[in-house]
Amino acid sequence: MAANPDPDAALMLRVKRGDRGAFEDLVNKYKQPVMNIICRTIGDATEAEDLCQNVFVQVFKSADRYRVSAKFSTWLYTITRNLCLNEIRRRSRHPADSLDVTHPDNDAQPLRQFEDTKNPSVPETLLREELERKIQQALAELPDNQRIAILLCRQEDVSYEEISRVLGCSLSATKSLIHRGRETLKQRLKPYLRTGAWKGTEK
Amino acid sequence: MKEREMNEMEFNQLLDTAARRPLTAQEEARLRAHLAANPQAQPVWEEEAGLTRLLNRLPDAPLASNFTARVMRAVERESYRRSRASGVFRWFGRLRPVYRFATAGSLLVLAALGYFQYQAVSREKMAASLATVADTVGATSEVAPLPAVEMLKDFDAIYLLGRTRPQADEDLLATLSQVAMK
Repeated sequence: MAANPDPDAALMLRVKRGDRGAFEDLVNKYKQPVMNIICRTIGDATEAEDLCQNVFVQVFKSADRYRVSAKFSTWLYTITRNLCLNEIRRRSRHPADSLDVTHPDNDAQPLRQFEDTKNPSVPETLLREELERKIQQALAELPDNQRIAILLCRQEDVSYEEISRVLGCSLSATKSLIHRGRETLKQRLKPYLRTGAWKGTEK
Repeated sequence: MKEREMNEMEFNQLLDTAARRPLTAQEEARLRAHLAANPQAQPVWEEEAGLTRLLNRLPDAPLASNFTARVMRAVERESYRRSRASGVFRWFGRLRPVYRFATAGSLLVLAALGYFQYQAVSREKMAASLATVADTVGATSEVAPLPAVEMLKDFDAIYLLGRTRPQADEDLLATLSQVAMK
C-alpha cells in the first residue's frame, strides 16, 4: 500500500464506477502534458490533437481493466507512448502527402499551408520561433525512445522509475537513454546553449 | 562548519536534478562551491543548464479550447455503441443465478422441441411421398398387370438368358456344308 495515495488513481476508480465528472477532471488535468508529448513525438499538431483524443477515449474504454498497481500517470503515459509508436509505424508504411497536392475543395489552394516567412511581423518573434523550430527539429531527430524519455523528464511529477515503466525497460537503461538523448541534443544545439538565443541576436 | 565537497557522482546527481526541477538554495550553494573548487566542471554545468533552458523554452502544444468537450462527446458515443452491442448480454448478466439457469434451461427446452418438431414434419413428408409412389404403382398395375410370382421364381436364370448371345453350333454347320457340297 502506497504511503501517499495517488489522487488520480482515486479519480480513475470513480470513473470505473461510471463517474463522468471524475473522468472530465482527469482530462482537464492531463490534456496539456499528453498533448505536449504527442505533438513533440509525432511532429504534427493537427494529428496530435486527434491522437490525444484517442488516448483519453482509450483510457475510458479500459477503465474496467484499471488496477491501482502503479500511478495513474504511468498508465496514462504508457497508453500515450503506445499510440504514438503506432502512429509512427503507420506513417512509415504510408509516406507523407506531397506538398504539391491541392485541397480537395479548391484546386488553387495547397493541401498544406505554411506561414509566409517573407513578411515577418516582429523580428524577435521570428527568432524565437526559429529557435523553437531548431529545438523541435533536434528532438524529432532523436530515436523514438530517447525522445519520449526526454519529454517525460520534463514532467516534474514523473519519476525515473515511472519513466522506466512507461518505456518498458530497466531504470539504468532509462537513465542511459536520457543521458544519450541529452548528449545528442547538446551537440545539435551547441550554438544556442550558452546564450539560449539564436546567433543572429548576439551583439 | 564547512560543507563537505561534492564528488563527481554527487555532481552528476545534481546535474540530473537541475534538468528536472529548479535547484533549492542549499543545492545551488553546493554547486557554486563545487564549481569554484573544480573550474573544469564549469563548461559541463553550463552546457547542461543551457540545454535545460532551451527545452523549457518550448511552448505548450496548441490545444483546442473545446478539447475536453470533444473528448466527452467521443466517450458518450463509445458508451452508446457498447450499450447497443451488449444489451442482451448485459440484461442476462444482471439476472440472479437461479433466473439465469431458468432462462438458459427454457431456451434449451425450446430448442429441443423445435428440433423434434422438425424431425416429425420431415417424417410426415416422407410418408406422404411413399404413399404417392404406392398409388402410382397400383394404378399402373391395372393397365399392365404384373407377372405372377411363380414366373419370377427363376428370375436370375431368365435374366441371364435375356443377356447372353446364342453360340453357333459349329459341328452342325460343318455337316451341313459337306452335304451341300455333295
